Amino acid sequence: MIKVLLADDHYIVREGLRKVLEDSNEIEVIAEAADGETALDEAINKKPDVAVIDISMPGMDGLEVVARLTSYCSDVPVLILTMHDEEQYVIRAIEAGAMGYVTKQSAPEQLVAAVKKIHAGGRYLTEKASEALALRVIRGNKKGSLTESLSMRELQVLRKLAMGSTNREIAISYNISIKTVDTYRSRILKKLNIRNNAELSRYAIQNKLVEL
Amino acid sequence: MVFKSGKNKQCCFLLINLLKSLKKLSCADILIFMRLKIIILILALFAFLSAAAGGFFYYYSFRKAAFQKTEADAYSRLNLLTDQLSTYLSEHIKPVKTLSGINELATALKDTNLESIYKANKILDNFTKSLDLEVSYLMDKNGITLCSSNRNAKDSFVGKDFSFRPYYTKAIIGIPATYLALGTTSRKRGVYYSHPVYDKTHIHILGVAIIKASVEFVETKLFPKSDDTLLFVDPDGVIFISNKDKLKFNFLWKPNEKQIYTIENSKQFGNGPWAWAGFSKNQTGDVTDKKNSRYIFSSLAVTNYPDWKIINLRNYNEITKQVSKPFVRVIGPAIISILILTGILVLILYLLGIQEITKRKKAEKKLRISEERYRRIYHKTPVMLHSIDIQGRIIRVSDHWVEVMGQKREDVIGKQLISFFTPDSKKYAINVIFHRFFRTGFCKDVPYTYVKKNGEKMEILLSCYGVRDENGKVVRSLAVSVDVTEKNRTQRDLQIATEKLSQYSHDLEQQVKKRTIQLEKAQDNLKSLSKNIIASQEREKALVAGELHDHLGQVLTALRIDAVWVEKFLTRFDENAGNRAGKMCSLIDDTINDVRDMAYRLRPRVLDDLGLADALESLLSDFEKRSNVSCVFKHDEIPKINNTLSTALYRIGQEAVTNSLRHSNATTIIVELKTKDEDIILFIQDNGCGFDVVNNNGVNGFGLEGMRERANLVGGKLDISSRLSQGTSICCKVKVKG
Repeated sequence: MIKVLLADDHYIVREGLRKVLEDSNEIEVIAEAADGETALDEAINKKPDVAVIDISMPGMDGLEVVARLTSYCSDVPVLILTMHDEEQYVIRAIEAGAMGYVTKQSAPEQLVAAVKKIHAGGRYLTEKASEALALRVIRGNKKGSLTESLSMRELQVLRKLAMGSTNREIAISYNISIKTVDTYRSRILKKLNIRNNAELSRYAIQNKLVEL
Repeated sequence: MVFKSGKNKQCCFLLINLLKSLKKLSCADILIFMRLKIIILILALFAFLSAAAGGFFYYYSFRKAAFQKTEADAYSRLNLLTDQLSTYLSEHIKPVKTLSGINELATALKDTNLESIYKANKILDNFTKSLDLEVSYLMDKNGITLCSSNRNAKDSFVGKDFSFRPYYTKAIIGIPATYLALGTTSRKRGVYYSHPVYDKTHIHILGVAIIKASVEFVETKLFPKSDDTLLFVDPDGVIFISNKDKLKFNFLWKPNEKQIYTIENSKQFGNGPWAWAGFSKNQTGDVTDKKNSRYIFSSLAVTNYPDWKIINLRNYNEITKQVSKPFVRVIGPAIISILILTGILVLILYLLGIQEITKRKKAEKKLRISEERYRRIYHKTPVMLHSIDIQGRIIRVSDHWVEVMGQKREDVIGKQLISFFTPDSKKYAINVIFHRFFRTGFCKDVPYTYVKKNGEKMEILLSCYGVRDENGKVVRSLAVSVDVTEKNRTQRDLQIATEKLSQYSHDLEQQVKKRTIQLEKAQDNLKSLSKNIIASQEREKALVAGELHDHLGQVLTALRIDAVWVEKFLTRFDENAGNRAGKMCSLIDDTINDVRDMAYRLRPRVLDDLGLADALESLLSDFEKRSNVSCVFKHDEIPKINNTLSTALYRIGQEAVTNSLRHSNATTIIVELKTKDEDIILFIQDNGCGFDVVNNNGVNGFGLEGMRERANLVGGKLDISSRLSQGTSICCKVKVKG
């Protein structure tokens, strides 16, 4: 059984989540907390296998808890749980030391798997979250370069194109039209002063925009 | 009339310059230029005479040399001729001696018979032929010709008596002779050689043998035809041989009776008459002919013919002609060229002179006109002009001066200028200004007061300029007076008015200050009110968003968890019920998304949770997803800033990007968040159509005013720059406190 600390300031949500976890029969919620401080104390005292923590709580917020927890007892991996689906939260959470990230909305489907994965020593990130993370790293490294002139979406399309995705595939994965993808592509070519997809791939590899 | 002092000065200079240029030229100068004409003519004449005289003297000396040379030539020629003539004339002396010695001749004379005469004639024939003589003959002791080589000719000498001939008379007494004469029978000139014929004893003279040689040959050979006159003249002056036919047998000099008688008697030169050739010798030795032409005369004696002379006469005129011909040919053109050149030079000089004179005349005329104009300007210019001499007396005034002063010109000229001054001005002028003026030659804007004829006082400003003589000494002035009475009065009034105005303005200023303070207070109130409104608005928004997010959102989330559970549970038993539960789930999902969007629009939690940079990044991602416009966000590491400031900047950014998306048709929007020194700068730039910042009345519609106000409320500054089709950029700069 995986021992889990569950921290959320909303009682009903916490109850719901607890039910989701315990329904799996592999996870046991050994402690609950309604605020950051309690969560920190419980984590230190009860030593759970995994800490599932809501990012926004009264008092100490989730990110702070993660930061403190990773410094006090680094052996407790943290899974961040949140109402927000903005990438910025994911990035902050991972930066703070969290091992995974799940929105409350997708909790019924993903929470158990996430806890298991983290417990197994892995990271749990949705595809979207890991992409956001990669983009953040790229943008952080490319200050002042041509790459900086690209928008977030352009960078996304560039990476996909460089990795060999077709326009159609890209359109589907971002829920945009093929025409829009083409518009993005031509903008990217213009901004980077290149002519075709081959050069685009070379640019992406040379500038470490894609993981090989 | 109010004149500026600078203008006065200019006016003075103009008039002075006119005066100076007037003085520069006088009538005397022009007279000099008239004389130039005569000088040029005299010079020309002198040049011409010099050339002519030079030519003449050269010619004269050349001619003299030619004369001398001719004379010398003549002598040397005569010498040669004399020798040749002498030789020729004595050529047959020996043959005649030989002839006379032949026996047959003596025999013929002694035993006169046909045979002996025949023999003698043969001898004579032989002699004549072999010696190419004219004739040879033999005379008996009575002078009768016995034998002759021309015995068969018509004019045969045989039987003729030539005893009157001197060659006979000399030979018969034993003296061989030569004789020049005209043959009495043959009428031919010849040289007669005679020799006595002796008997065997050589004591008794039997007769005389004679040879006559022609002189024609001598004449043609030794006396060639030429311009010179060559003469062989006998002691009495009869020309025997000459290269001029008409002179033969003429007397060279005028003969006297005795001479003519002698010639007549001797029959030496025929029967006459013997004319006079016309030559005569005067006391100085010059030889002239009848026409009074002068000749170079040279003569030499001939050996064996005492008193016979060879004479060379050369006409001076001929020589002159000979000399002058080449002279004229060679030197003539040179002299003529010089003369022509001189002539041209003179002509050019003359024309130049005339041109110069014409120019001067024109200048003079111009000068007269300009002098006239100057006088007119001086008098008619409506400015008070006057001039004074070194004693301070008025020597000239303009009409306007007279008019303004109410004076008559004749009452003013010659008067002291200061007599029109007030006592104060008089003192000032005498003590200060006059000294200065006559030293420096210039003064400007001197304040004087004139007294008019009617006693009225007139304040003026006087500027004057000194006219100097050749030594640079100021001799008179040219002055402009400007009436400043009115101006001064106005100035005084203005001064009073200004003082009053300054008092008023001071009062007004105080009032304005007071009002400003009140206004500022009101403005501050308004500002804080506005701030409060915005703050409370934000607070409200945050509150509602919080409620939505934290309460409704959480409840919906919990509901979803349960719904999912129900769906799973039901699906096991009743697929239909499961599907219904599934639909419920997606309905809840949609609602959660709506609530989240709603809350985000009201106030994004990310702004409070993660700060401005993340909030703007999130905002731009959101915009990009919804619009497909390339939204680039660049940012520095931003220090922590307070909520009000980050809210303001977030809202400004939101507004700007929203505007751009709505109105600009931009394809790229760049948002930069930077820090510089203590400022935080938000910079939004698009590549859209832009708008006219100054004239666009719709500016307020774009919420630009709202953005400005937000910036102002946090102590920031907002700059908008945009031009049509050049994009828009908005820059918000805020000082970060502490």
